[in-house]
Amino acid sequence: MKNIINSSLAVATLSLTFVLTSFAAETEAGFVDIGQLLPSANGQFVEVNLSQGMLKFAAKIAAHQEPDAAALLSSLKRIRVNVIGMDDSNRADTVGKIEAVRRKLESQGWTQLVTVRDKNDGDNVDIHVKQRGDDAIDGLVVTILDKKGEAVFVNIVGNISADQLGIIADKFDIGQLKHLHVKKESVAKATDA
Amino acid sequence: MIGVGLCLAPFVVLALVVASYLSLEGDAAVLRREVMAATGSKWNTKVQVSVGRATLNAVNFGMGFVHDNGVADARSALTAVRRASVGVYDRAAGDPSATRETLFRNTDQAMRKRGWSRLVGVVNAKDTVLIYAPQNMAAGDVMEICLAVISGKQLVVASTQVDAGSLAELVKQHTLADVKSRLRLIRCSW
Repeated sequence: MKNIINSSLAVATLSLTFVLTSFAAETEAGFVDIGQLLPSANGQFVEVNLSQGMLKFAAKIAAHQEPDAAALLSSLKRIRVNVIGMDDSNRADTVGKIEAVRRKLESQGWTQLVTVRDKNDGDNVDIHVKQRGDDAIDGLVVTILDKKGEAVFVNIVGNISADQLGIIADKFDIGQLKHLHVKKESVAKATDA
Repeated sequence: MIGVGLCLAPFVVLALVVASYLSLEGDAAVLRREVMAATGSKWNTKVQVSVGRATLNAVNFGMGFVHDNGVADARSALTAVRRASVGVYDRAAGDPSATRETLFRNTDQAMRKRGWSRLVGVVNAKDTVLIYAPQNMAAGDVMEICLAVISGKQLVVASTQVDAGSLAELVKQHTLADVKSRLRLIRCSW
């Protein structure tokens, strides 16, 4: 009887550990789970998932050439990038997931920094951020549905400052983000205070 | 009897050592098996080789006696790599247009069971690239990766363990423009 109770407790503890671990990933501020995006039958598909360990490894390599980029990589927790060519086999599913993510972000209080709806070019771009105070963000999500029949999803999670947002815009070539002016705490203000 | 065994033992050991050099290590072999099964094609082996730190150090030492301009880069690369297992295969028969969804799903599932998660997945008209890293990768100086590349009728499967510091030195020696273009993850033309 005692063995059965001990075994049951052990199984329950292990199960709880697994559940808490998976829940922790989802509840990490700035992280957005779009689920599995599937490639089309013939189009291009790119998926990159970088964990914190991999980012720190990349930071060590980048430190020699680009110290700013290395510092940014060290402060990030994860990066996910998807570029999916859409055709009839995956268009409905992909567009549905992108739009569901956008609705979820708005319902969870993410700030919509950029919205582009270009009727001529057919581009459809949203950039959302999860703000933490005035000078930092916990996460960034870029969603794009473009006229070439491609969908793009980018989620960057970490402790990102306003200055580092500019580096992200430059490294990922996010045009709209490059021209964005983010409120910064000036050193002069702090000094005056 | 014991005498016969002792006489045969060196040959058996030699055979095992040769076999270990000419086969893929465990995780790479699993990746190869899943990719080949998902493509539904028959593949012929062109080359398979696995080398460890001792062999790589020995080769590096030997290259120190070679006086050539390209040797320095090769030695840097050898210093960065701690072990490597590579297989190259040619498609002999079968339909090259394998179901991509099946390839990703089945391979991811098999590698997940062995503690690997997919780092990179790229598919275009001609090529398919899958790169895996350990799920619980610690932020250390050593990185393990397992990759499979299908390009036309050829499949390359490899697993390796690399050292970050040595790899950084190798990267530092090449042009900045070349590094930037290779490290850029996505280029969005908006």
